[in-house]
Amino acid sequence: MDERTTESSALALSPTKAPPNPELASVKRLLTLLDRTAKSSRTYGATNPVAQTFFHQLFEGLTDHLATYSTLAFLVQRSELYFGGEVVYRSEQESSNESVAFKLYSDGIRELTFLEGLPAKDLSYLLDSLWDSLDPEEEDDDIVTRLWAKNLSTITLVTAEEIAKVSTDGDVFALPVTGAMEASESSLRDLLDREQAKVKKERELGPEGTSPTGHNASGGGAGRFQSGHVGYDITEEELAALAKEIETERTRDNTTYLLDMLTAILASEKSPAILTKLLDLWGHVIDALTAQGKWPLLDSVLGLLRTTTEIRPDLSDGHKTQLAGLLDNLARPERMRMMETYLNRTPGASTEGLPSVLLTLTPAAVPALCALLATLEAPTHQAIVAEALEVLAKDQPDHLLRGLSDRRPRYVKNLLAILLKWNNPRFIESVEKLVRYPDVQVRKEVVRAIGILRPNGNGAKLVSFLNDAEESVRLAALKLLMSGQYKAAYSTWSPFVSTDTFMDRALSEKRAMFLAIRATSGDDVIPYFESVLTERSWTNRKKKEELAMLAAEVLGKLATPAGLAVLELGQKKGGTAVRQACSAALAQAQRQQLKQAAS
Amino acid sequence: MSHFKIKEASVVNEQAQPILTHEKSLSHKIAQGSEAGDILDQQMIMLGIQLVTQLNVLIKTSRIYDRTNAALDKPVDTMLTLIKTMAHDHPVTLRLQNDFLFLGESHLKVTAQQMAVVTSIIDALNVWKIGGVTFESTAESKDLREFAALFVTLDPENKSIDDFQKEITARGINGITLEEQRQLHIKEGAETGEHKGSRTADGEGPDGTGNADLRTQRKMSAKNGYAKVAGSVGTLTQSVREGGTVSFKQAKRAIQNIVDLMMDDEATVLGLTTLRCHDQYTHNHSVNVSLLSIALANRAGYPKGELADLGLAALFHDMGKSTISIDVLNKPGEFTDEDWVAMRNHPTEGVLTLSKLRGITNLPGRMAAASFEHHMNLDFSGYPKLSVPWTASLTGRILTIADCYDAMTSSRVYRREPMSPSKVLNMMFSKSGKAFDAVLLKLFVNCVGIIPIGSLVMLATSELAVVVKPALDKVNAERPFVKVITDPQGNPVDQGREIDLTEQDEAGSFLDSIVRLIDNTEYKFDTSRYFV
Repeated sequence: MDERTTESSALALSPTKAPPNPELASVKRLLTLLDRTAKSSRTYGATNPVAQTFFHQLFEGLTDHLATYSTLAFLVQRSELYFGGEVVYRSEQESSNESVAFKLYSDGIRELTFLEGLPAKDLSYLLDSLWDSLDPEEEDDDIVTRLWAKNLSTITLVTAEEIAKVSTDGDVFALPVTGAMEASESSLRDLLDREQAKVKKERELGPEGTSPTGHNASGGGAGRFQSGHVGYDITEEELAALAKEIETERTRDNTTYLLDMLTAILASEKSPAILTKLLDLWGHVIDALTAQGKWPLLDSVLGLLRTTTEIRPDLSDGHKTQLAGLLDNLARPERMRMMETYLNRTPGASTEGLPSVLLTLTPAAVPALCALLATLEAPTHQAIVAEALEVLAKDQPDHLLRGLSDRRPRYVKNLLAILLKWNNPRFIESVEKLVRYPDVQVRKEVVRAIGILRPNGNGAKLVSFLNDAEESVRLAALKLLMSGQYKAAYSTWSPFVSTDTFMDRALSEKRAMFLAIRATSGDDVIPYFESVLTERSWTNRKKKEELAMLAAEVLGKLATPAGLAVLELGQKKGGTAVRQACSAALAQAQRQQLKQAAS
Repeated sequence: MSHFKIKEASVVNEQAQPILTHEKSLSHKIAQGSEAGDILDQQMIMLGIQLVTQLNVLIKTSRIYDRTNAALDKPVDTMLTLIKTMAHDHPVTLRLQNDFLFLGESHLKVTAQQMAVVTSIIDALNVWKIGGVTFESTAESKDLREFAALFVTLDPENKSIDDFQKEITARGINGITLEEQRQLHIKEGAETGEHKGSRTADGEGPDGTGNADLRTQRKMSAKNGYAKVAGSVGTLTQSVREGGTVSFKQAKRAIQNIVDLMMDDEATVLGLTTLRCHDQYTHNHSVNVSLLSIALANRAGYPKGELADLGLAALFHDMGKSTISIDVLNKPGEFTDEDWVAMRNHPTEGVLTLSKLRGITNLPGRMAAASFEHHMNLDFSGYPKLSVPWTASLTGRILTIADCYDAMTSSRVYRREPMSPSKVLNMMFSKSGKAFDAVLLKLFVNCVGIIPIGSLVMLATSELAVVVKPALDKVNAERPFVKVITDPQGNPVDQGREIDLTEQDEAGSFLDSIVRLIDNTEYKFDTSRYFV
């Protein structure tokens, strides 16, 4: 076993010389391991492989120790653990919350004992209790109550209070000296006299006389008292039935049970004051269920509240207003924050019931839902909220449109997705404003949105994407522009093709641009192509030649008379390569014309 | 939120005055008219930390300044405020044992932030081997100054704690006394935890005297446990009245302790339930119901952990009464119709209060059921009345029995005169299977006995006795264990003998028998004195 000291603030005291006692040495090794386990658990979480390794080492060490010595008991001081009268653990910082000794001391534990047969799960539970890594909702518990409730047979505690109790003779009780039961012992003689007189009288009255308790005093006053109660034996069947009920009570869903109770009160209560409190409480219930992500229950509660006025037509107007307020304010900001916190904290948790809950909201909740959508991290959660928005905001999309200017790309992308599902052309202006949105994915989505919301017509906005820094965005826009559904005057294109940087674009993009120009501008582009084919240049010759060849290819595909004329011109005036390209394009155009004529 | 807030004081002269907006006497408020007069509650414990802090400031400041120096004004004034509040009814003792600090008998839980101050005080007390410092409300400014001056000027190397105490007396320091460090009383054969590693004590000495010692020890443990539970329920009820938050941590520990005691010695714990409620504010009723419920549930087969949950639930079954004014609860005369409406609403009010304070996802279902159903009755003849089908829970049925038994035998809970335990049991039997679950009622009788614990009886010898434990043998159920309290002439006897009425002579005749049940309430005679 590793005996190196740790760097933690709370250290097991490592032996500086060979310990005379092997048990003591074993204890010190175990405490070193305990410290490491605790530290790694705190740092990486108990499920981390490193923490698990340390835990297993600790468990094995402890098991070996207990197999040899059967028990291991520590006395707890402020910052120290004692074993056999020796300090075996001391934290450097006396009051550190990371010190095992202080954690035990703080909860008033004087002695901690491990017994042979300690299972790993019990040790794990103790460590979790020490570092408060158990259910945070168990706020009513400390180490002592947790271990007690577990009723562990191999870990026992002695608290300082228990020791204090057996060390004192003090009595916390003082009997009352006044009150309804104030008769003193001195009146006992009188009491006895009166009772004996009653006995005498009963004897005189005969066997019909009754005792003050209402029971027949068998054999007169001097006879033995008989209560008359019989048959209080419990059968095995009765005990079995009770055991079954106890188990049912133990395993029932607590929240559902409480909700059933509140529902029964809601259905039955007549007191206006209690009804007011109850309706107020339902608000808290909605909060709690939201905060804990209990969506199916929340859905049921909302369903109940929606039908309450039918179940309770006798509710006062005030209560009806209170009830309506509950339903109207379902999406108040604090509640939405609870939802957001829960969903972001537990990305893998079930969302069953959540869509239904969201759909119970009114369109007034759209801003809150938008805020929620903007802050959710998991795509599945975003999709659920987006679906709700798709329904709730359909008639009031303004908030979503305003949201397009948000800086959070994921949110904007989600909004665009909703708008696309609605597919309403009037959103195009808002969408087109995002041409220069900083995020690439959003810009791509905007191109796609334009393609859907404006499937034909003016292509100027799409042309403006040619300035986009991202090639894929430019190509997406060009793809639409090449479709032949859009029109854009050559003047729109001119700034892009006349600039020097145009030459730097990839060949494929330049080809796409020429095709797009041809598709959107028709013969408007002919003068430009003519200049490309016939212009003589001394600089950048190779690239210009390449461009001219592309122009020839496109003109061949355009195959309009003006285009063919330019090709013929190029065939005469262009360089060798251009001439060849023009010839090839003309031949291609002629073949195409023949084919069309034949068909 | 609670009005009760305390600002942390720094060790040096920048101490903040505690904000004490509660009543002048906390213990009086909690235990007004109470049998458990010196119950220390959670608020007191919070003040205890303040007391430690201020004592530390006072001692440290006294090391630098003379007793008359103005630098001492603030710590002295603050300490006096604390002492007047905490020791209004009973002196308050700050104790040290095995490095742990206590206020009275209650452990002072210390946070990491408070540890520096606490360490300073523990070290200072340890140097003097002081086990406790008791402050009385009579202490004044000069007393605190003189005490602190002595603390820092006397040399613990040469002076003992006796010398210190003598100096205190010689200088006329009033309202401050010292205690020596307590030694653990280790009784031969008895587990003391410190040596045996167990939370309970049991065993018998080789000389045969162990039983008496053990009984005394168990009784003391039970009483301490009872007081703790009463203290915690008092604190929480008060907190709810003031609109504060509710944490069951203290109550939970106290109830777990009770469960241990109950499993160890049911009769001793149930004997404490003879402490009847004489005042709504004392919370004995809630504690009694909790104890009786635990005993009944134990007989019904509840596992240990579940018993504690049930006991905690039972402890707060009357939480709904926190919405009723103290004036109404303690009204000397008859209730008005309006008062009755409020009383009848308390089960539902309890559910709403607890649900709101704890949150629907954090409230134990048993606790809600205990409040909601404890007056409902098995046949739904009680209240609240429901217009929808409802199944009475096991918790509710247990609570109905325990609550009814304690309420009927108490003097104030429902405006009635108290009834003797046997009369109450008789009445309950008449409603078996109707208001009360028949099986549970049978189990309940097994707990308290056919002649219930606390009953006053006349023996064949004409002696008066009190029933202290049900008979072990059901065949002889009318022969419980009794404690003789008078001789045949009615003269009270001290330490009367305890008799097992099933004991027989050689001829097989019973040595003694009950000839008559006496309605102790008729004589306003409280039998609880024999249990506490």
